[in-house]
Amino acid sequence: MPGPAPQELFGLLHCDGAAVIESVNATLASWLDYPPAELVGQPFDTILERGGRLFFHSQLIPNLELNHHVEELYLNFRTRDGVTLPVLINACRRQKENRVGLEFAVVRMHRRARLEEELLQAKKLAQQANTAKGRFLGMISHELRTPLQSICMFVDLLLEGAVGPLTPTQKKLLVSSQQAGGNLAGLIEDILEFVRMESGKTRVDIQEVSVREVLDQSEALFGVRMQEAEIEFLSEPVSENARVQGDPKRIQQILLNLLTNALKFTPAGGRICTRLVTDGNYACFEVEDTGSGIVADDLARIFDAFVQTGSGSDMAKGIGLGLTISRDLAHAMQGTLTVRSTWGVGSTFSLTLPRVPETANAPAARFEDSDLH
Amino acid sequence: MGGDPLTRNGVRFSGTGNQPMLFGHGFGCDQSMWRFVAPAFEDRFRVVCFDYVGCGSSDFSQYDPARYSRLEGYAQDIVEIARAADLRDIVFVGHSVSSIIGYIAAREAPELFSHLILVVPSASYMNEPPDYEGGFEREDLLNLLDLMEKNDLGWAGFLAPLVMQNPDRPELTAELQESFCSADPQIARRFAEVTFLSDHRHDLSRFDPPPLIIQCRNDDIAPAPAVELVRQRLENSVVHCLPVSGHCPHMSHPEETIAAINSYLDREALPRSA
Repeated sequence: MPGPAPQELFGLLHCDGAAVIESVNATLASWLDYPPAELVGQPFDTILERGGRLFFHSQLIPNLELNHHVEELYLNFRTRDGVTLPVLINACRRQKENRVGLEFAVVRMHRRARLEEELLQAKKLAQQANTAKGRFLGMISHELRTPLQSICMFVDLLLEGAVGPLTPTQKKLLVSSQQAGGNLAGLIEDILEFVRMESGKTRVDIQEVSVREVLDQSEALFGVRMQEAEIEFLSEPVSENARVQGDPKRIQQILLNLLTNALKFTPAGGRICTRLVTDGNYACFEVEDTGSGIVADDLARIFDAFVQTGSGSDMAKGIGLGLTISRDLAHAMQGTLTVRSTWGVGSTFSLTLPRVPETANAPAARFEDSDLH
Repeated sequence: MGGDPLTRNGVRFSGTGNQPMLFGHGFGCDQSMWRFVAPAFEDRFRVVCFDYVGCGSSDFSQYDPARYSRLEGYAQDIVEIARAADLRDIVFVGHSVSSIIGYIAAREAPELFSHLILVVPSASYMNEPPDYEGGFEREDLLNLLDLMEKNDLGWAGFLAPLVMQNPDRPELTAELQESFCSADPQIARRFAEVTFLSDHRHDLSRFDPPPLIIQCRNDDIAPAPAVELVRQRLENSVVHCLPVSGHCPHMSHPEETIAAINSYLDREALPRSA
């Protein structure tokens, strides 16, 4: 290897404003297999692969000119013999009087680069697998939906007496079939929604939304079911002017999911409460229950797809997509969905959305029953 | 294509003149790359800068892979910006790939354009032996995409968008500092492919009045044979060779670039900067 033994632990290189090398330390020169003097006066491109030159001139130079420094940049150098040398660089642009200089600190990263490569490949494979999974789920759900619609339609017809009167036992069996069909249709819709979200095809229509109307709607939908389940349902009063930024249908969808979950996991005699908490520029819908709660270990993963805490085997409790969809919808509206819970005491889910200042008197979006499903 | 082109492309206006001077940025950056040059023309022109979709302050959600799979899609954006802002007699200044995008726009809607200024243009970046030396092989482009991907993997947030998605802490987005040359990494990679794989050598032909080509003495991205081909195809074009190295003279040598544009404006009897 020509030149003196490396002195510094890192490579150092200075260029003028036109990226012509002015100096290079012994360490970097030895890595590149050049005598230092031979590099002086050469364009920076000399030590770059051609693809790296495209990157250097189209990305790095404009960045340095405008932002004046770049950190932790991955680049491939080329040694005198044409061998690729993966490096990590920090670079800055300095102006002294009328002179511009570019300064590069360089570290080698052979092993890191290999790991990086493997990581990228693994990421690509995982993405491909995930896309394939999404396609499969979407396809199978569509295939299931059509015959299911026929089954449900025929059950409805039978229940309406279209083919003659029913005995009480026949009616009971058909009502059970109708409910099971409804559950199954709900699951299929969840899967299709999940696939749409994963492929980035879900759109939200952001507007000003009246909090009061959202909560009133939820109460109207859930009041009777809560009574039937012997659960106390409280909706704490909110100001008529309270408004958030979001998609009214999606907010309602999230709240329905949260209330349905609360209903599932709260035993008779329990209590479910909705309220609005405001905090600066944000407003937070809370759904609090006195249900079974979630053990601490599960808290971090209940928003992951296909995760169902507890027994998880009860089909009526879903397949663990509702919260994933709700969280992703919240994100799509620039909001968040979080939970706090104590095992055996209950859970509180919080949907936080950007708040509209209450002085604004603009008309908020209204809900129609047809929007809900 | 929905949406207002002026919002979609983050269009910004400045200057006191009537005639519009429209600046198109090159691949790898955003409209901020014109900040050392564009202000010099604000006293005589209505200066208009914009970002291609996926760059800078454009609306990233408007990115349509099919539309932007060809430079013609980007050119359509320019035509739509010009129509939306009612720009006429445009002096278009394009850097690198933008010079070709601007040429395509001017050919599609000649009634909107007055003059073209092409900064370091290349109609095709790929070598085609034995007759054409674009400077690069397909493998070089793959290397570029690889480097972009690795840097996107998290080394530096090198091209991190201006407003990062921070779903768990939405309050942070407003506090992020402005950084220049931002872009959506995935869109940037697709833009790189479209830029470096497109071949517009046979689309170029005479344009009147004569366009100005600004060339740098040592430019690896747009090497002399590539610039020469653009000159030949445009027949009547005027070449101004700057005695500087690199591919971004408007950033590394703004004064020389402004002077080159001014001498062209003089020749064409257009308003020049003070």
